[in-house]
Amino acid sequence: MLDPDRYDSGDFPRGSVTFLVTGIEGSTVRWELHGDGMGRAVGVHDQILRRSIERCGGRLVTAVGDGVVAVFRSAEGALRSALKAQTELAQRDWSPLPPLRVRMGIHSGWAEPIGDEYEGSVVRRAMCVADSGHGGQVIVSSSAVAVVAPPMGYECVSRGIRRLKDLAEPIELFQVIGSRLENELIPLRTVDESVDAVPVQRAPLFGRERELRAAAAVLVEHRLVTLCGAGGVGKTRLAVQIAAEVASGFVGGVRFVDFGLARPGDDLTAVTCDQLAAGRTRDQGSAGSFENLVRLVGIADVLLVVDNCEHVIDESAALIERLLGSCRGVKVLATSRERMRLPAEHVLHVDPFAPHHGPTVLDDPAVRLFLFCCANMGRQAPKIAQLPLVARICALVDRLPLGIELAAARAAYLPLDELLARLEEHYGVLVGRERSTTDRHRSIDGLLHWSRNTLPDAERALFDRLGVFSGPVDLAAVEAVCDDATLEHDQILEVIASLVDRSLLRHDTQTGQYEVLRLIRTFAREQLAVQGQVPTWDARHTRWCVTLVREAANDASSETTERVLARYGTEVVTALDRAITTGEASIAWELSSVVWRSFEASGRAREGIVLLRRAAHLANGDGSVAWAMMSQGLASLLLTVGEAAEAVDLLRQIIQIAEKLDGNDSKVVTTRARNVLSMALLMAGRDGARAEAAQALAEFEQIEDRRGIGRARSSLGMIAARAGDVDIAEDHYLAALVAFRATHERRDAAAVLSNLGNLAHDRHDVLRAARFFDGAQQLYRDIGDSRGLALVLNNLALIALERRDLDRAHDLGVEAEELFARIGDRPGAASAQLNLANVAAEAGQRTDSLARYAQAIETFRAAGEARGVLVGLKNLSEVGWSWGARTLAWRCQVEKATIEFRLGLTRGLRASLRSLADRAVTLAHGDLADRLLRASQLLIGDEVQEILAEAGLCGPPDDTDMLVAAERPRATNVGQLTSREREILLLVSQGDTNPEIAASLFISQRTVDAHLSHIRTKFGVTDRVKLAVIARQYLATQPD
Amino acid sequence: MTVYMVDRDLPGIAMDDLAAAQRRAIDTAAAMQGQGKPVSYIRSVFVPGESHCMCLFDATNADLVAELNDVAEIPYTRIIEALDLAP
Repeated sequence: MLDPDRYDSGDFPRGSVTFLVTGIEGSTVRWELHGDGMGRAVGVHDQILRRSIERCGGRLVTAVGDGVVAVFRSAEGALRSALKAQTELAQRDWSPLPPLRVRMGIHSGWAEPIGDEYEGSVVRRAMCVADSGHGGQVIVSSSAVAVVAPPMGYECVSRGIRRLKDLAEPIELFQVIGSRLENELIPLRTVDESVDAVPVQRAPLFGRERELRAAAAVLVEHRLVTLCGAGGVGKTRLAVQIAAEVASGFVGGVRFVDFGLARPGDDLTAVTCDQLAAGRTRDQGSAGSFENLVRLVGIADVLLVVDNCEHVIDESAALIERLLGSCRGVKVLATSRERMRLPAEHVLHVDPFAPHHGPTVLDDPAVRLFLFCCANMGRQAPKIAQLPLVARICALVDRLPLGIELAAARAAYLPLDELLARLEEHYGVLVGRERSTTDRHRSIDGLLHWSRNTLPDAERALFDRLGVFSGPVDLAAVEAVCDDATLEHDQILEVIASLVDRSLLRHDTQTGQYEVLRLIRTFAREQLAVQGQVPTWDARHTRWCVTLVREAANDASSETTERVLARYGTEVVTALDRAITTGEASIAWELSSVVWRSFEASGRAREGIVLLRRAAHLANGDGSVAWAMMSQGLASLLLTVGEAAEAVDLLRQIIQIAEKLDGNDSKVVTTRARNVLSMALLMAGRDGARAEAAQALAEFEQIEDRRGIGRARSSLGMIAARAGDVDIAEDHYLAALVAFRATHERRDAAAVLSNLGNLAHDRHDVLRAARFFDGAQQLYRDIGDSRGLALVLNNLALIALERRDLDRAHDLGVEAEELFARIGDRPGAASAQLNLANVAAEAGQRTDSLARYAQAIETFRAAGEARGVLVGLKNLSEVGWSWGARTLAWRCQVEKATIEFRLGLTRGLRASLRSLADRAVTLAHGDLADRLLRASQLLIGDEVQEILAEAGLCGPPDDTDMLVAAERPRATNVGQLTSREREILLLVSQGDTNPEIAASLFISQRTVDAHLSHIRTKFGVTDRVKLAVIARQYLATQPD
Repeated sequence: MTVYMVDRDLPGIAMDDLAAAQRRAIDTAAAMQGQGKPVSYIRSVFVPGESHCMCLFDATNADLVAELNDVAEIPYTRIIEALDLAP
C-alpha cells in the first residue's frame, strides 16, 4: 500500500485546494480471491498513482484502504493526475487477474492542513464524490468543474444534482468522458431519492462504526429499533446515517418524521401526516386520519425514521405500535432518551464517544469532530501541538457530540487554552449561535433544563441530589446518601431506574455503577444550590464517606480498603476536600488516613501530598491518633515521589508523638511508622534503616501482626538487596511471601514476587526470575492492578528478549505499553516503548526500531525522566553504530554526555566522554579524541562544555540517517555536488516539480533533467521521493 | 478436574522440612475434601541444586490450590495449569 510517510512531509497547501480521492473497485473480494496476485497488482497500482500525483504537482495526504487521498493546489493538476492514472491503469495488462478498476473523485474547496492531514467538509465530501462513482470513472463535483476545463479529447457530462452519503446538501456531479475511461453513464452510487426525506446534515458522522454495524444487523431481524441515549449524544445524526446506509434495502425508501416540536397530548397521527405530506397533494378530508397515514407511509418495504420521541413517549409508542400492526412491510427506527416499552422493540444504547486509547490523537473521533466544526466555521485549524488541548476540551464536555460542537463554536472566539479554562470552571460557555438549531440544542443549559422539566417530582428530586456525587456510584451509595422523607429508601431503585430509562444516568452493567455525565452533575448541583439544599446533602455525603472509611480501617485485610477506595475513592477525596475547606480537622484527618492509598495506587501521589498537607495544617495534631495515621500516609506519598528526607523527618515526629499516646493504637501506629521510616532512611541514603526495620519486625511479632511482619521482612529484604546481601534479601522476601500468602495480602505478595524476580534476574538466573515474575503477574491480574501488571509484563518482556523469544517479548511489551498508556503512566509507557524498540532492533526491523526509540526518548523527555532519556540514547547509539548509522549514533552519544554533564552525573559523563574518544579515533578525528580523553580525566566544567559543543557540530560527515542507511547503498560522491546541483537538490527537497525548478532557476527542463540524473547517480537512488528525503537530510548537514 | 503445578523456591530447606511441608499439603487437601472442596495432592519433584520444587495438585480451579497452599503455609511463587504425563 502507498505509504504517506515515504513522502516529503513538508507543508501541505492551505486555502483553496482540490482533493483527488481514489479507491479500487471490489477490493475486498479481489483480495479474497487473488491474495498474493492482488498484493502485486496493488503495488503496481500504487506506483502508477504515485507517479501521476507527483507529476501533476500533487501531494499524497493519506492512504485509505486500497485508495488514496491526494491534495493539489489546482483543480487542473488533480484532473490531469486522475486522467493520467486512469490511462495507465487501463493500458496495463493485469492478467492473470481481471483488470484493476479504480474509481476516482475530485472536489475543490477551502481546506487547511492539521500537520500532514486534513479535516473538514471538503475532504469528507471528496471521499463521497469518489465513492459515488464506479471503476474506471472520474467523477468531478460542480465546485471543481467550475474552476477547470477538461483537456482536449475529454468532456464533463452532468449526472444531475445528487445526494451523497455524507447527507449534506445535494451537489451536481459530472462524469469525465473520453479515451480510456469508463464512458457508460451507469447509475451513480449516490443515496438520492431513497433518503429524500432525510434532513440535510451539518456534519458527517464521526466514529460510530460499531453502532452502524449493530443497527444494520438488528434492522434485519427487528421491526422497531430505538436508539436510546442522553440529549446531545448524536442520536438523530446516527439514525439518519443508519437510514442512508440501509436505504437501498428498502424498496419503498425511507420516510422521516420529527416529533421535536410535538407536545404531550398532541395527535401524533396528524403531526406525522403533516410532515409526510409536505410538498404532496393532500386529501383534505382525511388529512390527519390513520388511513391517510398508512397511505403516506406506504405499506411495503419502508423504513420510517421517527426522531425525538422522549417527551411524547406514550403517544409515540401507541402510534408506532398501531402502524407496525397495520403495515406489515414497515420498519421503524426511533430516537428517544427513553425506550418505548413495546414488545417488538429492540433498544440500541448510544453513548458519548468512548475514551480514546489509539496511538494518535488524530484518530480520536471526538477530536476529529471538533476539528471539523472549526474548519467549517472558517477558523484557523488548531496546530498539532494544540491537539492534546482539544482532547482535554472534548473530555471536559464528556465527549458528548453536542458539547463538542458547541465548544468548537466557542473556539472561533476564544483561544483554546482560555476555552479549556472556562470549561473547567463551568459549562455555561457552551452556547451555540446558529439559528437553525432548536432551542434545546443551542445550549447545554437549555438542553438540561428541558430534560429536567419533563421529570416527575421524585425523579427530579433524585436528579438534583445526584449533584452531590463526583463520580460513578452504585445503588448502595445513592440509597445511603439520597433518601429522606419525600424520597424513601425503598423508592430509590425505582426512581433511579426511571432516570436510567430517560438516559439521564448510564448504568454500567459490568461494574453495577451509575454514571452521571459531568455536565449533568454540575447542572444538578446548581439546582440544589438554587433550592439552598447544598449544605444538607453535602453533610449527608460526608457522613457516608466517614462511615465507609471507618469500616475499611477496622477490617484486617488491606484488600477491603483497596476495594472501598477503588469503588468510592473519588467520593472520599471530594468529602476530604470539602472537610478541609470547611475546616473540619478531625474528619479531614480520618478521611486522609485511608484515602492516601488511592492517590498512591492511581499514580497521583503529588496531588495527594498537596491535599494531605492542607489537612495537616488545619489544627495542631499533638496527641491525636488520627493525625499520626494521616501523617504516615503523607510520609508514604512523599516516599513515592522520592522526597525521602522530608519523609524521614515527618516519620520521626510521628513516632515521637505516637509513643506518648495510650492504648494499642499507639503501638500499631508507632510500629508501622517505624517500618516506613526504615524505607525512608534507605531511600535517603542515611544510616539506621536496618535497625529500624529489625525493631519494627520485633514489635510486629510481639503484637502478632502477620501483615506487619510481612512488610518488615520485605523492608529488610530491600535493605539487604541494596547492600548486595542477595542471599539474606531472598530469605527475607520468601518469609514475607509466606506471611502475605497467609494473610491474603495479594498486592504485597505480588510486590515481593517482583522483588524476588529482580534479584534472580540480577543473578542472571532468567528462568527463576521468569517464574517469580509470572507469579506476580497472576496476582496482579487477579486483583486488577494495572500498574503492577504493566511493570511485571515489562520485566517478562525483557527476559523473553534475553532468551531471544522475540514474538513473546513483543506481545508482552505491547500489553505493558497499552496498560501504562491507559493509566497515564508516561515513564512506564516509555520504558515499554524502549523494550519494544530493543525487540525490533534485535529482529532487524530498523524502521520500527528507530521510530520506537525516538518515541521512547520523547516520552521520557516529556515526563522529565532524564535517566530514561539517557538509557534510550545509549541503546539508540549502540544500534546506530552496529548498523553503520554513524551520524545518528554519534549525535546520540553527544546528547547523552551533554545531559550527564548538565545533571552532574560524573561517572556516566566520564564513561561517555571516553566512549566518544574511542569513536573519534575510529573516525580519524585524532585531535578531538585526545581532547575528549583529557576532558574525561579532568572533568573541568568549561572544557567539557566546549568539547561537547564542538563534538555536536562535527561527527561523521557523510551519512544521513539510519533509516536511509538501512535502505539504500551508501552514497559515494555526495561531497562533490556542484553549486547548481545543490540548488536543484534544495528545490527537490521542497517538493518542486521539474518545470517549477526550471522556472525558478531560469534554465530549461532538459538541463534540470540532466542535473537530476547526475545527482541521482551521486546519491545512488533513482526514486524521486527517496531523493527528496535524502536531500533534506543532506542539506541539513551542510553549513549553508 | 485439572492438574495444576505449584512452583516453589525453597533455598536452604532441609529434607525434614520438605517432608513436613509435603505432609501438610496432603493433610490440608484431605481436610478441604472433607469440607466438600475438590482438591487433591498428586506428587512433588524437588531439584536440590536449584532449591526448586514443583508440586502437582488436582482441582477444579486454581483458587482451591492457592487456598490449600495458603492454609498449609507452604511458600510458592506461582500456580499454573499442567499436564501430568504418567506412563
